[in-house]
Amino acid sequence: MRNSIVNKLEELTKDDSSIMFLVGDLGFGVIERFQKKFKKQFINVGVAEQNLTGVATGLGLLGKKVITYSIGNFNTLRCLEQIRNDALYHNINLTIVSVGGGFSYGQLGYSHHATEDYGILRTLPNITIFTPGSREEAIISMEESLKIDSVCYIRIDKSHFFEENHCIGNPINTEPRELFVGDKTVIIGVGGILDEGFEAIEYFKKINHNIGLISLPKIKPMSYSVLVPLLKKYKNIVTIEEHNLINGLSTIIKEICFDNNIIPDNIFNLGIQDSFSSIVGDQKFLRKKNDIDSNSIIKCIESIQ
Amino acid sequence: MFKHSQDLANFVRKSVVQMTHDGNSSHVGSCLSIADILAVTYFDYLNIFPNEPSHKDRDWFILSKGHAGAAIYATLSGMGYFNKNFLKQHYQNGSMMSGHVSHKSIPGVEFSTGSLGHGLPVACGIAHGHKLDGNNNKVVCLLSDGECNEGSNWEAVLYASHFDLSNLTVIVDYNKLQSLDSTENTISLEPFVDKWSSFEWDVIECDGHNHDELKSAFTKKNNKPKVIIAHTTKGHGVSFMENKVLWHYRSPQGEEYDDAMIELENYEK
Repeated sequence: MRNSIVNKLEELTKDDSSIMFLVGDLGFGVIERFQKKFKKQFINVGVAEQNLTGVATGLGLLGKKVITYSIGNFNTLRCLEQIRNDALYHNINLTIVSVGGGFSYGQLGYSHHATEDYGILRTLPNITIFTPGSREEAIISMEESLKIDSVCYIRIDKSHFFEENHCIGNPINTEPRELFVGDKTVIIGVGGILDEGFEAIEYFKKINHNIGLISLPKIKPMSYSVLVPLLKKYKNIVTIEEHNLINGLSTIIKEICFDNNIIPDNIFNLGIQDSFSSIVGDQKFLRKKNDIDSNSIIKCIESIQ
Repeated sequence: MFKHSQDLANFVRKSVVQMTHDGNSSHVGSCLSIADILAVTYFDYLNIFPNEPSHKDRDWFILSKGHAGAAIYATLSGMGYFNKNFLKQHYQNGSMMSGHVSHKSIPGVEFSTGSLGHGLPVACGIAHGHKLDGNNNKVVCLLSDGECNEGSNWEAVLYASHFDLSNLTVIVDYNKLQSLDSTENTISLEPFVDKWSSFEWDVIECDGHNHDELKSAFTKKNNKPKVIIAHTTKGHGVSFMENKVLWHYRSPQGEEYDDAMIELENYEK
């Protein structure tokens, strides 16, 4: 996904001299071509995320569209107050691209587990949050974010699902997408973990059981007009996310259900149980360890049959 | 309109005592500390357009020590950005003229601050952007000494020299008092000049209440980013406020207010 998003940015920068791509000394193997092509529109700010976000704000005050690129928690939590006070309060056209959502860098340890990011950021006023699950969703997120005159966050994941695995066609925007239509039960997810949802769906297909799957490439602001009717169709809802359950997707879905008088028979929320993972491993391994893998989804759904 | 930066400084001093009295608000000492710096910056150095604050050729000023909001509001009003009656809004219920500097609805304020350590990185971004675009706009950022405890400043100090941001001038209001105690007893900054020099900045020390010294500090040619370490007195102009930690937070009321105003009238003479 990170290559897709940087390629898209490169394409957009060809026709837009106001774009500035700032990195926090990260992006090896990903950013070099952009750096070479657009020397005046690229800055490596160094390992200094508070300054990264402050400099981005200064450039934004001059009317530039700025992207800050780093991994995990660095350009989000490390500089949270700069995002709030500097960029958001001043309506800066800033897109924060953080690669390494969830357990993307699982083996690197807790410092690199980005498992509270969108929950924390979504509390900030007027921020837009993209949580793409496929390369195509990531590209659309990048395109949309540059058109928004305020701060956007794009959470990029190492894993992703393949658009060819369903038949609804590529995304045309970041509205909620019903990738599969189910009978009674739907899995709702954000990011690459939707792939676990695909696996669960395949399992149930074999026993002639149709499970729905919804991807939410944008969680703030939420498109209620699209999502609410989708939720109303289902009796059982399973949310899946590589993020703390607190203020995560599960919270969002429960808020929407409560506010719109949607009372499903069952809601299951699969996410990280308000904890750090001191155990390391690759993304798939840590999903299993935290009961947020396809088997965990299957078990949930089987429990209500 | 004032004839001399000194007149503007006097106006700022009296205004901030009035505003912190009316608003029953803090930071009068911090405001008095920078009245002369602001007066020279706006009156003699910056290229500004008070009738068109967003003019593309304007120079930029960022007050990073946002707690001295009253001082920048008074300066802007003194320079004609808005009517001085507007200063009565300061700290009042329902007003947008907050204690810490806000750009919302205040003509001439470029950037809102209040949490320390935010202004300089932003000033670097503005300076770098202008440099990349080949513009001549200058950028000035005013820091407090206590604020130099914030690590974010030093990230920006490294950045400015690495990218040769010679269009950027930092002024440090070095009054040597922080919120609870002296800078020396809190987090010592000395050797302060050496610190900036070793980060490859052009450093000038001056008396932060001497307008001629401030002017020549501003106009001295620099090839690197420039820092003016302005030695100041917290509470300058009101004898009983000078060098007193108490006046970081205390608001001038009753006789204290009357006495302060009398002293400031005499200061002008």
